[in-house]
Amino acid sequence: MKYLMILLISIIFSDELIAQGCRVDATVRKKDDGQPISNVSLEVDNFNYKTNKDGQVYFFTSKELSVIKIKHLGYKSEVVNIRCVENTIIIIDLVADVQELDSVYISTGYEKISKERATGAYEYIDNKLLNRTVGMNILSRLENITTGIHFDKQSISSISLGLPITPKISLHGINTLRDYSNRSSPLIILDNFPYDGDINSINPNDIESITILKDAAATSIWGAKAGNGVIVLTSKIAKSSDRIKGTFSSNITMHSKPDLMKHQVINPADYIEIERFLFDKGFYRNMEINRSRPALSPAVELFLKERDKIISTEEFSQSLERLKSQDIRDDFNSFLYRNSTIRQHNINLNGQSNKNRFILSANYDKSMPIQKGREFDRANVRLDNNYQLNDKLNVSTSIRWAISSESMADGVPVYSNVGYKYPYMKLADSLGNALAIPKEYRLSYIENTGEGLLMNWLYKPLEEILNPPTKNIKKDLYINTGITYKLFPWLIMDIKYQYSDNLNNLNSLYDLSNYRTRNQINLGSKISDGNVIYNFPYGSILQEDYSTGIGHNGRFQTNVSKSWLDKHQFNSVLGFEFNSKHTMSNGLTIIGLDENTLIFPAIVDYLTPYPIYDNLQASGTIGQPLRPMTDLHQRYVSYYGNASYSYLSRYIFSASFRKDASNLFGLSTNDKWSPLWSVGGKWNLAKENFLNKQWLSKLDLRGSYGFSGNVDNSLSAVPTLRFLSTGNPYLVPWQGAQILNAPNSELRWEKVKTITIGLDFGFLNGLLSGSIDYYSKNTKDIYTNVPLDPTTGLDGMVINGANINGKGVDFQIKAIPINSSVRWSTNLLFSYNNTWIKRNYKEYTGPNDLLTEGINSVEGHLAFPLYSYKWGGLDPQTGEPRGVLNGEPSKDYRSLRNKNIQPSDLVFHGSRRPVYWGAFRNDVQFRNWAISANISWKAGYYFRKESINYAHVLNNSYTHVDYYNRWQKPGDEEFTDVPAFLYPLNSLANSFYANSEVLVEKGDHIYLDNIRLDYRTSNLKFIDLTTFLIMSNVGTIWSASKSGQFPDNLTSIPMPRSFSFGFNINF
Amino acid sequence: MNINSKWIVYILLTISLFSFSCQKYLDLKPDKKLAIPYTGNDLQAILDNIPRINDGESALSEIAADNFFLPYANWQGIEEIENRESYIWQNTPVAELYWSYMYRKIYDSNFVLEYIDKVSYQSSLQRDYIYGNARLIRGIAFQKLAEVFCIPFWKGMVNDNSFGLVLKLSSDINETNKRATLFETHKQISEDLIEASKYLPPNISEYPTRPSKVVAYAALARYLLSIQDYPGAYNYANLSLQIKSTLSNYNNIPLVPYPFNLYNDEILYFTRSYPYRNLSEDNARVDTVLYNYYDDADLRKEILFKKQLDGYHSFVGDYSKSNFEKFTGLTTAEMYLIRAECLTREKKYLEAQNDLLLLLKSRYVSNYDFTSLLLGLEPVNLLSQILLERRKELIGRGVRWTDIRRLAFERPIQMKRILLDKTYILENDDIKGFAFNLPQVVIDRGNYE
Repeated sequence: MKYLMILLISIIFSDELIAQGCRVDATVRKKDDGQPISNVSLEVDNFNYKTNKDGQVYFFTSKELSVIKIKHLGYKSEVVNIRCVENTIIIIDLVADVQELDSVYISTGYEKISKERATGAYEYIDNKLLNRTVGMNILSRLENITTGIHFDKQSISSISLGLPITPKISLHGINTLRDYSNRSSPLIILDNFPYDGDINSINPNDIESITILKDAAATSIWGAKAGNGVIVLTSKIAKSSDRIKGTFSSNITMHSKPDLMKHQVINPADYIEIERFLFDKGFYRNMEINRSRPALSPAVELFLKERDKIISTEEFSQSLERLKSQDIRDDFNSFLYRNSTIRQHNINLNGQSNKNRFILSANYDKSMPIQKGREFDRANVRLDNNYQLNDKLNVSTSIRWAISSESMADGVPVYSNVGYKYPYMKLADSLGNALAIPKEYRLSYIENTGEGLLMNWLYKPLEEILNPPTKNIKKDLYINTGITYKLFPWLIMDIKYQYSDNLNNLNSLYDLSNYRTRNQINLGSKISDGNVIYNFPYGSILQEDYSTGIGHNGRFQTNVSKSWLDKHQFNSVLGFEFNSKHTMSNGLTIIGLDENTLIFPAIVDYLTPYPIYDNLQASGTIGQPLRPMTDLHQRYVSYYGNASYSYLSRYIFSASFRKDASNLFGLSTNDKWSPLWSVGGKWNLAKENFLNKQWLSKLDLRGSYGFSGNVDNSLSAVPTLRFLSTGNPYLVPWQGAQILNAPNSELRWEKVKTITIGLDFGFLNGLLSGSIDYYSKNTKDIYTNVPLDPTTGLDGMVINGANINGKGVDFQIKAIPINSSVRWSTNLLFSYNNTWIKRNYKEYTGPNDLLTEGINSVEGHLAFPLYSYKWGGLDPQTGEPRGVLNGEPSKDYRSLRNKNIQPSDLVFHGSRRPVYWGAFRNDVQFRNWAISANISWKAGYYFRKESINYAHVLNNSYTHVDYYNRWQKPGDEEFTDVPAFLYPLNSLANSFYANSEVLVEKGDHIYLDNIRLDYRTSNLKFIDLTTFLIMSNVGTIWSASKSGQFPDNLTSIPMPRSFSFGFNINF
Repeated sequence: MNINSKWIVYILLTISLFSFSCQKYLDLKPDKKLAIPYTGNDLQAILDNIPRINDGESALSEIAADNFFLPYANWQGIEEIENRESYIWQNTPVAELYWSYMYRKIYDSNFVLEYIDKVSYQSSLQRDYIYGNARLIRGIAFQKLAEVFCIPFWKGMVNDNSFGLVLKLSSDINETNKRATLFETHKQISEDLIEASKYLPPNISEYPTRPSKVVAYAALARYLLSIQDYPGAYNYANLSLQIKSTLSNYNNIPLVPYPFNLYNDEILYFTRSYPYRNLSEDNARVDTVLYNYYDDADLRKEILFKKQLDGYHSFVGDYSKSNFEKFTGLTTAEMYLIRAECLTREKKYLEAQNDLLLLLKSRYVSNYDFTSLLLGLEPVNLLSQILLERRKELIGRGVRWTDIRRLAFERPIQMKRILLDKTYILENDDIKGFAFNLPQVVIDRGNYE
């Protein structure tokens, strides 16, 4: 809403003065407190004026009607019309506009560029948007608020909530075909250097903003690591201030327990019927007589007792009915899972004394995840100092320290996507006492063996969670120093150095309260004459693993910035940098430990095999206590530079280059270097005279073309041997070596060529703004795992074997439809990305190439296609699944999957990954209240849903509900596509059905991600308090799939809802 | 401006200084555990990689043979359809690793042979050893592959239309290969083994995972027997027994399952097969007829077998101490049996009997009176007795199938499997022309027939 107050004092002598023009005196003030604002720009009739330090300015205008445009950073622009009659005095009040603060400078990690001047495609996420969600991981906060970024959620389940996980992100598609989940991550830059540490050790409150570098002009300066895009995290810097200012914030997030009852499994009672069927067929026969006494399910034990007439028929039916009424999911909920809570506390202090500005922050997070027995704690401290020694020399130092500890309860059952074995077990009795469940051995055996001399061999999950044995402790220390020296007014020297020290310690103490230890000791026991001989030392087992990494990063750079004649502006950066990382690891195991006195046996025979108790296994050996060591060095050296020239602030050209080298094993130094470059341009159309319209505040057309790359240091061009300690299990003193790869002197880096065209627009002073980008990425020499004929002796080899092409569109539009006492802003994000295989040197060897999970690499096709076998219905006589061979239904599964089946014989559904995705976010603000909701959507993809898999039924007791719809008698094939339960298992038919077209659904859906409510208490004297409430994982609004399964996590158990409550205090 | 140019010169100098030290900086090995083969020790380490070189032989030969059978319920419980079908000699592709695990050994040997003159040695003896070792490994690998994937061959066989193996003799993965003839295949096997016998040293290795001359002789004895070259087999069995002939006396072996030490005295060369679950103690049962052939005084009856709840017996006397992997290596006992059989065929009955007696003395209770067993045996019965002893002694070792394939030419052998109500029969003629089908993956990717 505009508040405009014009005070007009006019003299009524109009006629004489019109011809001369008039003088206008203007004063510009802040609306809040009436203070004058200096340096405000006024544009009148194409002339520019600026207010002085008193906020005053005057000018002459000859026109009768003049339009004055007033613009100032941080304030809403104003337009004033004046009729020039006599000398006029006007006062203009400007309203502060925190929202509209255009990010003037974006950080690329090498320099800060003004957004106006930048030719590349950058996306900037400011502090407010970054803090819209709370979460321990800074990258997770990017979800659903940017374009072009896709989060792969397949490995995330409700159990991982509250645990430190590294999100799998891809920016602008996937440019690699191997192990893509790990190798598609963008490069993360923190404090101006590449960050390869644990994302979870970064305190999100230390991050001011994030800049995403998307196109070649943006990324080519990072060279060989930037093929997947770059995400720059900019830390908060010490601001100049007259007193100590700071922020204290705290929040708590609670997730409810996952609704396990939504898991699409059959009733445990019906599973017992299946066990009965298998029992009658003799399926459990060899388990019963196996000398290793493998565990049998409680139902099978009952069947055995009934068969052997050990119990009466009555007792049998009673016990069986009792089992049928139980469901292990109830006990998981009651005893093994809890509502998770995450608490976060942070304080930030900012101050200045003389020439030293500092910022100090401390943070503590504590998470109690859903699974009992697990816990995660993290503490961070950061101190950043900046000294402006004189007007030329500036020194900055920062120390960042993080420590985290995660405790894990290994050996505790987890309810996974395939459920849990023995779906009708109880974990505790009616009084809550822990019950034993079968784990490795039959309960009847371990309860009765050993004459009472052995250790308790029972496995009770509820006891296991009381003493979590494993702790993972991580400590990170980063020290940064930087010096900038203004050599000349146009030349600054910039030297930076970073030292990093990462320590990761995995420590497990399995004491006598853990089943694992008691099991080991019992297996190594021998009973003789009423005494126990311990062949495996009695005591606790301690396992320690350490890995450390020491890194050095150094950079020497010169920055040039010169403008002349107010028309030309030239900026350039030229530099050299090196980085090295040395990682080492080792570990050991101590057995027979008394953890109170720290005493362990002096002499242990690691080599001689000892007999296993009661011949449950052939023999056991204690084994070498020291773990194999690793020692890795990674080194990079680079030259880089960029330059940009702009004319009239309207036409801008830029170019950058970089030459990288690394110690890729086996190549001569010359081949290690590889130059990457880019060019870009930008045209600020809104500044052109022919487009000088009031309603058009921004129209920038930009484009870039360039190269970046991907290198994999673990590959080698020459045949390499890896030494392995294979001798130990065979009790021989010499070790073996394995040939790692076939020699390949042609091995080179992956090269990514990107062309981007973009348009940034803004209308009506921010009422409507946005950008649209189109990009095309061609990646050559992609590393592919080419499967080889096993006759060669190798299963596969990595070669530069494919070219892929990706295309995409990023579109963002933001509107502020209502902007008065109520303010409503809406954001729509739209991303499109798809990738095709352009060339592949791997031959097509059969449908398996297209059906397997992951990335398929058949030339001319989508890189992530979903293909299935054609479905020929179920056999009307037997209920077996049928495919289509030469137009006829067929059960010849071998022929259906051999090499003669071409892609055209299969069914092509579409993309396996979402091709379109985006978000729709609305924020409404009224006085001190604000409410915001974010909806995310994905479209254009398909997924294979879960269905009955008879191999899982036999081996893991996992029976999908489709079992109820299975074919049971002739005629059923008219109603169902679920195959009959055939025994013995036909593994070919089973895997055929699992890959057939009847199991494919569209994955498109719309999801309500979160709703946030803020209340700002504004009348407090010295502090500013905001409290907020966030509800996340609200629910699915619409889903194309009918099965109730979630295409992103591939499960039917929904992510539990969570609530976060917190406050921020600014003082 | 002087100041400017001075600074510019400094900056350029610093930058150029860095570029010179770059070479050294980037030459550091990224991983200390990586190495390019440089010395003989590196090549030896490749051949010492026990899990790859000694383990993982194809167990199809024991799976197809008649020492073990699978009760119907156990057969049904085997998940991989390829393994269920191999049991009943179907003409369908077999499980992949029966082929690929052997070709890994062939690859490693070829690699070593290619690099053998590109590395430095402590002595020429080391080079000889590595050469012999590599050829032995390759020869044995081809032999074990031919046993299952090619039809039976005998020395002097003329019909050359049948398929041999893919004779991969280089580590170049880009080579296109096709199947050689049966004759070429067997020529390669005997060349490899004979070369090995020339280069491997006479002193026995400290652990039987590494070969020596005696191993090459034993391998040749076993191989030549399988192609019905009885004089040749005799010669090599004899040579091997001259170097090492100790037998373990079963009287000293405790009566527990898997009682043998990992490398007991009889073992000349330690190799094992990977048979999935077809031959595991839980699943496989000893053929009842065979079981009854063991005399009550034969200690093997007690030590090697364990009665199961279904009334049949399982094999628990494997030399590899595992109920899963099966020992397939060479032993002195086998050499005695080979020598005895060849002597019998040469009509040297007395000497043959002596060898047999020596072996049986270490298998029966001490002081057992063998006269009733052996005296008065007709020559033809002596051969049958020796062949029976082969079955009793070498159970689980993977040699029975090869024996069947050569004996089918002189006896009316027929193989039968009964699964519930279905009976599967392999007639004598079928045996003489039987070869397993290559794995599907190999056919697809290699374009073989």
